[in-house]
Amino acid sequence: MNNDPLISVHNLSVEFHQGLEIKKVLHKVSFDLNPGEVLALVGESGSGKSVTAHSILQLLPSPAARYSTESSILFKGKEIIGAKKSFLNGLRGNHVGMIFQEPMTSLNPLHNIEKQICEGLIVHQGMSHTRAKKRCLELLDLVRIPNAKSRLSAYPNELSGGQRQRVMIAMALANDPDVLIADEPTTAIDVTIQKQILALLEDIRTELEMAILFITHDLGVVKHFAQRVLVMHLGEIVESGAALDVLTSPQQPYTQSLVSAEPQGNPTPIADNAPIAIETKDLKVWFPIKKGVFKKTIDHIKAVDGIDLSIKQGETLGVVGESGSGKSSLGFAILRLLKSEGTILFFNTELQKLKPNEVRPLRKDMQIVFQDPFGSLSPRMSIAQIIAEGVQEHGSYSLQEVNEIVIQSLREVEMDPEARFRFPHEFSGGQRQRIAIARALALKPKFIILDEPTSALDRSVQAQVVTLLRDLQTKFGFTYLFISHDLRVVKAMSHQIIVMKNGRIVENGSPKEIFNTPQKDYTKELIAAAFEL
Amino acid sequence: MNPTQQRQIQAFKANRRGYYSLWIFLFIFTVTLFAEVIANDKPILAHYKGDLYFPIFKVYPETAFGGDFETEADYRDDYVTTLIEEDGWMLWPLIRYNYTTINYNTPGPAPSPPTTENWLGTDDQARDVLARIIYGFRISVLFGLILTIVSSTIGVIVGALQGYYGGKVDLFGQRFIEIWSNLPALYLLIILSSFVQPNFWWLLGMMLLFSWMSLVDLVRAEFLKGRNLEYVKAAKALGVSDRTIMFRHIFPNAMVATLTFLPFILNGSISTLTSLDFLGFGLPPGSPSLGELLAQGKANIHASWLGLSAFFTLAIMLSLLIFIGEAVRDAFDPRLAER
Repeated sequence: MNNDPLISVHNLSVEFHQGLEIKKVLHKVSFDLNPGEVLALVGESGSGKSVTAHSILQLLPSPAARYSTESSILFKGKEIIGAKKSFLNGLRGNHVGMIFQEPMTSLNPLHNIEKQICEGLIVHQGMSHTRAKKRCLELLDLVRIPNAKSRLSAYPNELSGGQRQRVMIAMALANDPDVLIADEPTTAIDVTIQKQILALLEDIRTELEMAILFITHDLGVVKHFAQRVLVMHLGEIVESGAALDVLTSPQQPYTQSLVSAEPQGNPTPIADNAPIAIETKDLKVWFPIKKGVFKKTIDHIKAVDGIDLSIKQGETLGVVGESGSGKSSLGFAILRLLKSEGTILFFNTELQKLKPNEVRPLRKDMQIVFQDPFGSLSPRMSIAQIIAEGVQEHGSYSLQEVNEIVIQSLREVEMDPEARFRFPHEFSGGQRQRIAIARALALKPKFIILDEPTSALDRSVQAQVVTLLRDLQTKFGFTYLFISHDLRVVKAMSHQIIVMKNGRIVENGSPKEIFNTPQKDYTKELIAAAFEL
Repeated sequence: MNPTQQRQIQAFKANRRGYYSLWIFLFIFTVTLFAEVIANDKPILAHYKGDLYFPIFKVYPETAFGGDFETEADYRDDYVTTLIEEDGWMLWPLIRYNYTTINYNTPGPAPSPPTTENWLGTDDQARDVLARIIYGFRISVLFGLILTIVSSTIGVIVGALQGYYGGKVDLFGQRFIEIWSNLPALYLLIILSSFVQPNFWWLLGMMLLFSWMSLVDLVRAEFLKGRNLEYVKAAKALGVSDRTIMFRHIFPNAMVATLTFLPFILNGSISTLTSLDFLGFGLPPGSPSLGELLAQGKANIHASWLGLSAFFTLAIMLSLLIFIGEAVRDAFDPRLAER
């Protein structure tokens, strides 16, 4: 094998033009990708990782995206920037394969697996249908999809997230590419499956002798998988080197902050005689499945199936489980945002018996912070309006008082009170999550449900938010229900933990018990996937 | 003004055709709003024996100018004109006819062709066509605007309720609309006109009964989507009341679709009024109406100025509105803005 770099990126600078606004996204990025190596591109969201990857395939929207004159991307010595369309089409899919982040939306829901994989084969290699089908089976075996033959006619909705990602990988591999670009391939899937996908990529790389450009924000993933790492920050490469060196002894302060960004510490202990803040007995959320002309209920989807829990005042209960295990439904049911059966006692008030307009005044005392800080803030309202909304709904305050509450809340979440005049889109994900927390704080609630408050955030920001939430709890004595699939975060936050699967509690106990002596296989699996990557 | 709105205004201006159409339309509409001052059979201002008179706004008997009758002065009468101009002056509107004024001095039998006196000729009752078009334009646009605003308001409210609450409200609402929209509106109007004399408000009311449904589906879909948005859930968790959530959080999303549709609904409303007038079930006889003018053009093919005037007025008005509508649509289309 010759040792010339497969892809050589030199002085790549990209600007986005939107109207009269010019945004510099990349600044003089240079790197080589050698045959057979795994190169990881690491950085927080907005650091320009994806733009770099998309430039290689020339997938950026033109003319909005413009390359500087000295930018150059060579693929096996041939210039890609400004190349002809026919050359690019040959390159895409044929020599360079790409896997996208979101397996749910990258597959066409109307075509079965066979059709989606064969399409590339027939277009690029001119295969006959029978040969394409044969190759398709080989590929599905390669990506370890069990019973490949029976899966050929399956539609994307019949596959799990992990399987879909495998199909995506199979599609990217269909034409034996020299390079595979994987753009956050494991971010949208559960930790246990994440591990399997990484192992699969590693196997395939050694089997097919491909180079992989692996884009991620998760340093943990990189450690065991990549040979070289490039750390990107604000469109520039700040550090590069062998993966282990960079991760164990980072030189640049930015890399150091990324590496040390693990959420740490333990929750503050609570008094033994604290009253019980919230208690559920046999809580059930069943969605009926209806069929036939008369919409007879034939079965139920049991999102939450008989959950008993109790949280003391000032305590954090961590709820852990994979996606689809009913964690969020549990949270919504407790707040009575979702219809449920069973008992919910909130400081000895039975919530289930209250009418909707009787619950409304109680909402002041129970709040929720959502997973997605981009979706949970109304884009048309200023920060002050967002934070003040609940306050104005629950009491009559003068404008002066409302303003003071807004300023106070922003200070509590360590933000500049001047931020209240701006709009959500002007803030980063971490700042928005702080605003969402400030909105909940403004009401001075007793109980806050945190529905994956950190999973949409970058690692370094996660740690900050966890610290902030813990400090607020110590200061105000909040009771938290902390929902997350990320065990590292849960460990740093919770007094008690319940592990959920298919709407039921699999295991519960203190963090010590759960992490040191897990009883159930499912829990062990979760822990292994989260900490041993 | 937030950046989104600024971007929208820029996108609107970027569509030159729509942008200029808006100004032209606004100009014509503003001018016709003052139709009484532009086309009237009374002077705007009269000066007689040192006193100022405002004949458009106030009724003066002929005796005020030294005439014989106690009735209102007929300023177009040579006798009255001479009386006033002997000892003063009159400031006439641009066109010395209003929509009912009959020109008894046409060069030939009515309808008479365009002359320097009647720029677009006269209709079959010797009334000035231009004056009737100016008044007719105003009444058409006003009818269209009122109908559009009221029916859109009702439509948005109904759509919002159906979409937000879903379930039974939605089910029954949709079935009701399906049945209601199948009622033959035209027959009802014909039946109505057989026992009342339909005036502007009667017509408006009848049209309203059937026109409010156009926006319901659109708004309903937006609300069905909107009620599951995270920030709507967040507002619910804050204990915000349903009405506030609908108005403050979801409606702005539906606003885009609604505003985009408005110019087209306006066009539809104007065409409806015109077609009713054309068929003779519209505004009472004598009202200035473009539809009636069209009907006259059809009845008097030889008097081409009737049909052509009506045609061009309608074609220009409706095209302007469509161009404006296209520009509004561009302004609210995020995909276009991203380019």
